[in-house]
Amino acid sequence: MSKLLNATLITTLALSANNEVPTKQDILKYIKRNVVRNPMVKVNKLDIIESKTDPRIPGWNVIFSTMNLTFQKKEINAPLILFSHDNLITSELYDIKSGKSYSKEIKPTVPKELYNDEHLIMGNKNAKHKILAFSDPQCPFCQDVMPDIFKAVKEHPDTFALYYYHLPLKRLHPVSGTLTKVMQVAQNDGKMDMFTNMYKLNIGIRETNEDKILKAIDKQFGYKLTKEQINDKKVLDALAADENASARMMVSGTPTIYLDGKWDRMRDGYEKYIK
Amino acid sequence: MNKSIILVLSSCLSIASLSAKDINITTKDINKFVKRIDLKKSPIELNNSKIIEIKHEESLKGWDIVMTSLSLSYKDQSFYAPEIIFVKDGLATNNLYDVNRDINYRNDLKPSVKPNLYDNKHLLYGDKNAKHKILIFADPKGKNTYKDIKPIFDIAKSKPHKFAVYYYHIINRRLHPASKVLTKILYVLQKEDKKELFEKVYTLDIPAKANDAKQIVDYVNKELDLDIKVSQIESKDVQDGVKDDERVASEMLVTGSPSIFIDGKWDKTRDGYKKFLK
Repeated sequence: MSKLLNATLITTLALSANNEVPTKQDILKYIKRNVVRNPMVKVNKLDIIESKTDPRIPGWNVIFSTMNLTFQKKEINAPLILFSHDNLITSELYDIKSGKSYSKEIKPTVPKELYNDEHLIMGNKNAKHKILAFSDPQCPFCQDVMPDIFKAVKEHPDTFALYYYHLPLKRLHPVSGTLTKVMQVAQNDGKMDMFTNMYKLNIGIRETNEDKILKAIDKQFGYKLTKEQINDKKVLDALAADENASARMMVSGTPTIYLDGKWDRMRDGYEKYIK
Repeated sequence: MNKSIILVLSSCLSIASLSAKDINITTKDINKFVKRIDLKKSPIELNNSKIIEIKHEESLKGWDIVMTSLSLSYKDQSFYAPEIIFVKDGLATNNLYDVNRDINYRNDLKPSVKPNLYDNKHLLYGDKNAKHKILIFADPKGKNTYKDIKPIFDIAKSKPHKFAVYYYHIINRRLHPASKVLTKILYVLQKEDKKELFEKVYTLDIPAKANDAKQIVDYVNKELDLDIKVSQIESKDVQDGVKDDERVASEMLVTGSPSIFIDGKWDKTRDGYKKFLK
């Protein structure tokens, strides 16, 4: 059999192995029966973000979605990853040999629109490599990882472009709710040193009093801002948009780093490009 | 491309997938799965797991359905919980929903009943040589439990040669702390062959959230004219007996009260006995 015919056959087989993705109605049925079983929680709608295949799990479709729920009069957007194969749907696929959970391994594709000027905080937009970061300034892992990335991008602006999205984990570090507002203002004003300083701010992670937080920032870095400035609609809208971007990318932990569109689980993949 | 080539290739693929399917899952694999998936970020610890049965279903071609019982600990308490793991081509999951049939196989499959479960110790009503064997797993404070099992008790009492009822204790500790005490009382009553009082325990007005063993025992004693001591229900024999019932329940993948098996098959609707009444 010629190489060409072989290639054609393989392509055809690969295509026929791709199962049809379940309908939104089927997925909703699955969610209502198996995911959201609490009668107090109402499933308002389901947004399918992306459906893709992965060579590690042949024949399976990976469906990334966001559930819009109402619980105790509060609206919640919850990410959901599902796997489908023929008529079967599951929320978990685990590799027995490697012990890997594919619900943690497979991430949505980075849409091009996330690489926009508003989020380019360092580096040249035409740089060879794009870094996308979802981070919280008071998360200890972020404080460990992000300053090194900031340094690498500052020193190699033609090698790296850093696109940054705020993801304050308010339940764990309530203070970050205010700090990300400050960072957004600093970014708008082009004061990138103040932006990165929030990673160094010495403050209790549970602090929520904005007066106290702003005072600490002024005292430690000489950056004076008012509550009105940090609560400006534009600032709040930008942060809300960042939150939506995190939901779109199914990101729930920080720091989450993508390097050239691929999830960089170890968060140090950029190092290999620094000679 | 003509259809015959596709057919030949798809046959080759089927053969390949059949040989790849031949995987053996070990308790070590199960333990790893449970720790990484079920108990991730949970304070509950896994002591060990036991594979009860590996089943195959016509509607789940190629899947191994691995039914397991887990021995778990939380703080100073140890308990059992069932788990079902579906395995195919090296991939495992704990839930599989069939869109066409609108069922989650996780909730729809139970292991086969082993004959040793029909023992004299658990025979509550009826004759052990009765035509139909009914196995009941029940929590005395389970919602609708008595409503569902009372007619079964009644038919076994009135038709002992037709129905034999074997009773196993289960406890939903989180929702019904009172059952921790009541099951032990039931165990004592069953052991002492006080069957008429056994059933009455079900009818007593004891809040499911009641937690004080002495108060519960005193109330049962007063209402049923008994003289059970707290020390009696806390004896090793009673505790081990109830614990062993819970182990059996876990091995039968029982998760709700009442769970009923008739002649070895899970009676999902809990009224399967009716068809034998004619």
